[in-house]
Amino acid sequence: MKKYIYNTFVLAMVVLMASCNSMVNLTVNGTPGTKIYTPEKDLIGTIDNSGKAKVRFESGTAFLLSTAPGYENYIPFGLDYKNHHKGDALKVGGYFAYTIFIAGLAAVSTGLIAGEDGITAIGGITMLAGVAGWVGCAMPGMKHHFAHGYKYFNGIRSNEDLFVVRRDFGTGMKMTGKQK
Amino acid sequence: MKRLLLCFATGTLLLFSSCTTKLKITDVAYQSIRKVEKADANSRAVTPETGAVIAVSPVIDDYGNVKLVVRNLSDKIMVIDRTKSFFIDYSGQSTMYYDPTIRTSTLTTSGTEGATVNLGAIGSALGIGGAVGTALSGINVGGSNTSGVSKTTYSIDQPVVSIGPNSYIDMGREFSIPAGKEFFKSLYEQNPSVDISRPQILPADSYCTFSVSVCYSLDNGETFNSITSNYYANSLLQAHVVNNGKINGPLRKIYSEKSDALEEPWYIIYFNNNLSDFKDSYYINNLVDYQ
Repeated sequence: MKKYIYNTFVLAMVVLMASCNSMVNLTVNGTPGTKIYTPEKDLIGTIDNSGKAKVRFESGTAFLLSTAPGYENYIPFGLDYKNHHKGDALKVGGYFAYTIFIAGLAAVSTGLIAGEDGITAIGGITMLAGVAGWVGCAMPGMKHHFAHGYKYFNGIRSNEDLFVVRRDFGTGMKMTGKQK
Repeated sequence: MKRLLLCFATGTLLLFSSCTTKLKITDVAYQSIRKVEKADANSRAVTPETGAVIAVSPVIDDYGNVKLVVRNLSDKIMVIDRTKSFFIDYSGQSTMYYDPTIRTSTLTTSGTEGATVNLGAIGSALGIGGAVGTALSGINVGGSNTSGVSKTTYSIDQPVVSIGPNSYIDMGREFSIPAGKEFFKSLYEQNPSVDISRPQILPADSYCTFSVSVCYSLDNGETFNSITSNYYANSLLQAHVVNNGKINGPLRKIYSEKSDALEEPWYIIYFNNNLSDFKDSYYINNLVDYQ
């Protein structure tokens, strides 16, 4: 009985915690020293010597910004994505949670009619687990992750090479960027 | 029994899988707006540091709606004459910021079904007396004669407003220009396959120009000055997404053609997509003029 309560509680907490998280982790490739920013210009990572940076940003973002090493001109880069089918899993999960809730309700009713406190308690906990799963599947974080069925490509390049384009054309001067 | 359950589960999965909305970004677009620089070098040099007393800022949102914010940079009370302050659109049509229209909003609460608004109340509030007022007092609008509580609010624009020292006001009226999301969507619908590349547009060739003119006084209305600022859209770029999901290519194309894209005083980057909670636009607003 204790083990059942513990497992149910842990499962409910995992679902709820996952559902509150609407952030995405992604690896960006580029020249070491390139800084990566959100569109609001908050620094979220710097490309290390291996040419990679792990960044974290809000789901639903279409692009990020980068600055070439030693310069402060922002360069945008789009976040390529691919559609997938995890949104279906979310919907099925929601209905699964609903089924658990109904099963718990049935157990509570049976326990109350039969006067079995043990069955009533297990039914109550099962109902709670169903509600937690149901709420979890409906949370914005889960929807961001799965409901629309898209996933960002890992390893996108940060476009800092476009800074070179600007440097070599235009006025004919070697550097037109603002040097720090 | 097990087979039946398996069939049911598979059927449910297939049913739900057909309902998921997939993200589709069709094009990436960019647009920027600048102030037309004044020919007079002295006017160009006026900033808060060099003694400017007034700042006007057109605030353009991502739907292309323009509001005007006026800031009093002086230590005196500033008086704005809204009957002599204007928004001038692309065609040259001038609209004053003072709106003489009287607006009414009526909230009626009643103990029974049906709402009643007595027009006599509106007539008396508008100062309509005599036969017309008497006639109005007998007219009820609504579906019931049951007595209710009506609260009518009248909003009347002020022709002259004051701004405290070192503070600002919103001039109140909102105007629309060809900019932002709806503008980009209409461009895409007109031409769903051809990219647009106009990275540098001169004021005389611009598809979007507008001006704001504000009449102000710093001596309690004894004498008035005016500041007029002219603005124009100086770029328009739109690149289509060729392979679904590959949006960096179009964004690279736009930035390659306009390398100062993120340094314009007003700009918008727009990702035309089909989802409601995907961040489809990002814009910066730093348009300001001083006198």
